[in-house]
Amino acid sequence: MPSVKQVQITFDCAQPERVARFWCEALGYVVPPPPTGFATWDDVDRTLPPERQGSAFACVDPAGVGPRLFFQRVPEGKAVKNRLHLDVRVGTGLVGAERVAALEAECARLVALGAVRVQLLPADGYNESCLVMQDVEGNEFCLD
Amino acid sequence: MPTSVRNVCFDAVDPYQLATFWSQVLDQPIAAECAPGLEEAYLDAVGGSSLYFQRVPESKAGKNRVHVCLTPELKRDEETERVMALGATLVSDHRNPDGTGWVVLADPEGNEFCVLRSTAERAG
Repeated sequence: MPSVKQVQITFDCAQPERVARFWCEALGYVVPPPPTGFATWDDVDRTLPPERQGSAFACVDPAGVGPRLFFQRVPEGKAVKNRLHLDVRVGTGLVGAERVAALEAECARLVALGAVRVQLLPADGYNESCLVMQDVEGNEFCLD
Repeated sequence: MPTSVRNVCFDAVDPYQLATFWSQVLDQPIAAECAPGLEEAYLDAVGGSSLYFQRVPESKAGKNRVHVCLTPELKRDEETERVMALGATLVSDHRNPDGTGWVVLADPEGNEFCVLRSTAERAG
């Protein structure tokens, strides 16, 4: 029996809401509405025990297409390169200088939001160019 | 121009073998142009995005800071048994006596992932 599933991507974080807000801006994602009876997520947070306040945050694709992203606070910091990362679609269908220009323009927008430019990987005859970046907590991602 | 998540990309020692595992987990075919031995392998779209596996020289060191969580169609415990039969291993069991909770598994290259309750189980 086929087992169709929903896939969520979870990020370990120091500051879940800060990282979530970055990814909202990067992807055009939105923060889902708080549960019935609460005006804001801050109101929900205040009902939690102190040690759980600010411990998690989520964002979703308003079009319902991309995966939900979930951010959870963990005590340890980032130690090595992540073995999983997101490829962010920017230059689909573009090639050559036009593609690099689109990647660099998006890179500049994200750097202004706190991301870090790592390096441009030029087209190599097999793969088109992509631009490696890090989010506000150092999680690697690619503009592709 | 709006952006979107194109791929969730995994570093892999054996991209095709790891893609085969995830293909079975997600019931999504490996793209026709992929083959064993190539540097990359990927699935057809999953929820608008694809899982993509790329060969890297280094092996996994430490717990991943980004991981996949699955909300199955099957019940959580049935899904856990199914994916373990496909080659996943148990990392930690966070299931509670009241039926809530989740299971942390690792794929054949040690990448942690979670099996959550199904939508029906959450609603119940």
